[in-house]
Amino acid sequence: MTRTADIFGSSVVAVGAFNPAIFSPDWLERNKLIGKGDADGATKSSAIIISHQATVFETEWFALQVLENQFSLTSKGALTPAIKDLAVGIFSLVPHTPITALGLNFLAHFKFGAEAEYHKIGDVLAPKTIWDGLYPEGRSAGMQVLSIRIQDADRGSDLRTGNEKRISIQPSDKVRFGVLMLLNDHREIRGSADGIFPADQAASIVDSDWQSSCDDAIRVFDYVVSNALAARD
Amino acid sequence: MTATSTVSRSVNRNSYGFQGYGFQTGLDLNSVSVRENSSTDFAKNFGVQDLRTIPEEKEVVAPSAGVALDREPDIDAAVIQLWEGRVLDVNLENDVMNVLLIAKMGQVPDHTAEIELQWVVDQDRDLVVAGAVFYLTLYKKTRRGSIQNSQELRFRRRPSWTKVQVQKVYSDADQMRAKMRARPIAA
Repeated sequence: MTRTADIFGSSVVAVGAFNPAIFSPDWLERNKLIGKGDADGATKSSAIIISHQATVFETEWFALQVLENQFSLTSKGALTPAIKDLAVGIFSLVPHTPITALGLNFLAHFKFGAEAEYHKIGDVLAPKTIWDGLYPEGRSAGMQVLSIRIQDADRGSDLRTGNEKRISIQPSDKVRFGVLMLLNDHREIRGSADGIFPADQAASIVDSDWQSSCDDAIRVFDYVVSNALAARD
Repeated sequence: MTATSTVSRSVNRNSYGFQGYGFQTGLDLNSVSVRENSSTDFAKNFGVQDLRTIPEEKEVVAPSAGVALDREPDIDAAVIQLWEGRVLDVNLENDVMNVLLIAKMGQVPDHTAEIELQWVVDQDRDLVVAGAVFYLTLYKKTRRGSIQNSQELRFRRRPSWTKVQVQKVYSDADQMRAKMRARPIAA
């Protein structure tokens, strides 16, 4: 990557029907997915909820939130592929869970040396020619968020699958004159395809594709930022 | 969202690329109403917003006052390099392990290294055996203007095989064996 992100993170999000109460730090430790230190730290923290409707807790390196319709495992601090293994382990332990979709997500904050570079990114990706004409006096148009979907089909053709990538860019809330880029690698899960249970399918996708998805996110973020900055004024 | 900031007031309109205010990606309540329940996107709505998606008729246990529901996970580090490592052998006398490191970013050749066991956290010490897999992250953190370089070593943990999984392996093996035939012995 010619441009290195100032902050880089990942999350694994699954949509389906979950039983939040089982996803406790103690359960993860008993199944050898996290160590005693992580489990104790999470349990003693004041920021922990375990109920039938929601489980929310954090360790030093991940945050887990499970609702009845959504599972979300997010990296904290320095990203480690151990987050992938944790997701695989959790899904493997609940193979019958009806998961319908899975997202491998990556985010990066890029900081720019000059304010002009920051605005150039927004102007290249969302030119203001039309928008500036709307309110020519005393107002200014700025890009808030831009999202692009990359679908699994040629334009106008039927979708081969429901899988898609969603790439978003918006101003960073963490670094001054920085942008936040997000990549959502969205996968559809078919119910018990080939006799494989949905959560096992999810585990298999995370295990086999998380690294390549991460590599792709790094490539996409670098490509967009570098090309936007290199564009002629 | 508030539309007040020195950024938005001071920039030249002609070079105004992004809006300079109000981007709380994790906390923007306006975005909650339009988010699809089927989204597998980043859990931007980490915390209280997600709880709002629970149907009203269900009883939700009130969180204790000390629980910070509206916080995003603290992602604040830049990864410089990621390695996947394999323990080759452990030397307890010298408190080191010899490892093979495979870079996960960029075209960096594999190499061997000696890592002191002091880098392994206590909870992972029993995992340090020949063949164990770990991840080594070299990262950069910016805190209050100062840059801190550091590394994190975390061992891979996988759940034990379940009885069902073991049964399936035996069943698959039986099926394969049933399809095998002995090759005729060459004359």
